[in-house]
Amino acid sequence: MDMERSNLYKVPDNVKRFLVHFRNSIKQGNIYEIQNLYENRYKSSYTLIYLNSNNKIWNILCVLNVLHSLVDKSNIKRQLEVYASGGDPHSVAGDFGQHSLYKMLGYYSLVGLLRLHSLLGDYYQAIKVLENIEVHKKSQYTNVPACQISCSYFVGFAYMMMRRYADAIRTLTSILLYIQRTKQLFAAKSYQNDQINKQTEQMYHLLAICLVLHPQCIDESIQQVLRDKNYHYNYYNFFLMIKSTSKLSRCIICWQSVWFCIPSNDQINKQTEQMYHLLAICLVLHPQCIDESIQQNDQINKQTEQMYHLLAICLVLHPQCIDESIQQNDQINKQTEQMYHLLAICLVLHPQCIDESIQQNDQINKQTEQMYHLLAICLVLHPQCIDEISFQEFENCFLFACPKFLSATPPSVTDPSEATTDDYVKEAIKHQTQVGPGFDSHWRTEKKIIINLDFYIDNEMIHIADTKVAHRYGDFFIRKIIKFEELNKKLQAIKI
Amino acid sequence: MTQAELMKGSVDQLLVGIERYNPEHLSTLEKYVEVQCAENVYDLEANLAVLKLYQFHQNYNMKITSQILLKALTNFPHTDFILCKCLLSKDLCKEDPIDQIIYLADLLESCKFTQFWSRMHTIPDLFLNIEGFNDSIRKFVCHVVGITFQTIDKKLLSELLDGVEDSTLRLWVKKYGWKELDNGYIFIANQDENIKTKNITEKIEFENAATIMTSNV
Repeated sequence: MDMERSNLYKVPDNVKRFLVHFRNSIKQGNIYEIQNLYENRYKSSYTLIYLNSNNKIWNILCVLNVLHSLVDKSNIKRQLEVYASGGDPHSVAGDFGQHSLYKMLGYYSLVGLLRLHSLLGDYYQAIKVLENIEVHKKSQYTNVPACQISCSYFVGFAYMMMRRYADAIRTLTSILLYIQRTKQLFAAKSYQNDQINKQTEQMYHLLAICLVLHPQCIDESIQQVLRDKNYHYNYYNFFLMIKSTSKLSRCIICWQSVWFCIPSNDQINKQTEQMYHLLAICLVLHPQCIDESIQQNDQINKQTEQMYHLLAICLVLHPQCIDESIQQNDQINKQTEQMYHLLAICLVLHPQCIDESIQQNDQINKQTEQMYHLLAICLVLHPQCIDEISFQEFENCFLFACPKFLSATPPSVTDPSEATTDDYVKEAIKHQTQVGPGFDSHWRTEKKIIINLDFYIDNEMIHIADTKVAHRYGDFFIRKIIKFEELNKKLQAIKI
Repeated sequence: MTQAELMKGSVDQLLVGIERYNPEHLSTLEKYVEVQCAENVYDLEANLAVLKLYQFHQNYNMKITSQILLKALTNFPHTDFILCKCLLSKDLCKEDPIDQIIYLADLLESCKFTQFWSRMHTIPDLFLNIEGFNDSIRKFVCHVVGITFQTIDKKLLSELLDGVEDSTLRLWVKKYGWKELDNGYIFIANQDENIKTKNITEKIEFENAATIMTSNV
């Protein structure tokens, strides 16, 4: 810090002038990020520059000019290139670039350009600016967390707008994990805390949107946060709402709903084992019989809601087995309807015999029929109720929206029956495909192909293939064993 | 050497750094767009620079803009069209012929190929200047068919390709290495091999557990 400050006073006049311009552009509110960073780093010089600033209005071209000049002057692009390939950036830094002040100025200018381009809707340029920066990797340039976070935010946003959802999800999850890990470190001391929190929240939103449009497995801890925040459901509903206007998203959403519902279902099953369970059942069946203080307990309320879910499932499967007073409960009715929906989806995907009384249930028939329409797999049971052309369009559309279509060569996953999870993941990571035009040489992307459902059309028959990933227990057990051993050691160390 | 190749080098020079935003280059870049249309080549980077200059000065040349958009259509399945659309203003998107082109892009994106062709034939003037437009679209259609179908009805395929003649259809089939079957169907590829149901289970090898076991001793 001190060294940088002393450097600042050695800055030749012309660069100082750049800084003045820069400051002014910041005042226009174009690049808050950089403002914060600079306030942090060059606080002493800030006032000086601020006083020098005049009131001229800086238009977008001037801002771009300043940023580009800084980038050029510091030779940062060349430096990053060499750094990325493992060389010493100093060797190509040039007269100015050797000073860390210029180097960081150049670096932040790149981040500023990213932001600027994102705001202007030029996502291609935004991503291209960062061609030599590995957003996920820690390097000597990433010592300012706020900068790294906002950088990832804009990269994620740009990817989302370009409809490269897989890339967006990858970027967002990696930075969110980073935030989760390091939150304690910068939470207390950084004055940028508010901003980071806000941006984190925004990134969760972005991630939820991407996941609704492009469902895939993500890190458990992130998934948990999303689940808690309920974003997923909100956006899911949101997209359902706009489905009538947007034809493409309708097709996508129909498919998504299939995968989307299953994990929550799973979760319910898991939760049933918890101890609040019984209590919640009582609460649902006899709302009056419980002490009010308990009723206000959050967890009970949550569980009660889940019970409504469960109860609704029962109701769908055995319509007769329930007290009438409960049946008139609004919430149950709503949930029951949702359950019918779920059941219909499952039935469409895995046609099989279910209890006859349910199969004859009008509501389920209606729902199933709708599902068939939407999912266009009615060839199996109801060949008459679908227009063949629209069906094919739908299918095409689905594949088109898949990430698969971007990859020139699909990954060669080894024989699945023999591949362990590790192999699969390795294979997926190993497989690097270049995405998008023009980036091939600049912007290397690791693209994991994680798609749960695939299909092809053989004349009039559709073949569907899904991928099931079993839960991984090994790590869990190993962690527990280590914990247990530690405990054991401690116990033995105790002398009585 | 074609004119496009001649121009490419000098145009690339214009796109470096801040020079990209110099309005004096606009006429050169606009000419380059025309050359691209005439000679069936494509340069996204240069086209985006043109749109960017339009955006900054809020002065869109309708003809050039629509040519750029149509060229972006020829590069489906890449998302070039979205990139270009993001640089247009909202009002502009509602103006003719931009709104027509956006509608066409929607049709293509949702793979409604037959609708796309019939719509296209109602506005033939738009595509007059663009060399090889139809074939570029057919290439995209073939791409989608290639990843979707194992066998396809010949009639359906020719419909998707804008009702091409039998002889032309054969050329496309040959180009993509598909096979014509006797019963009026076309064999695309054996999708069985790629698209399989998978079950991914965890397997714990002895090595993985070895460290735990040794620490116990």
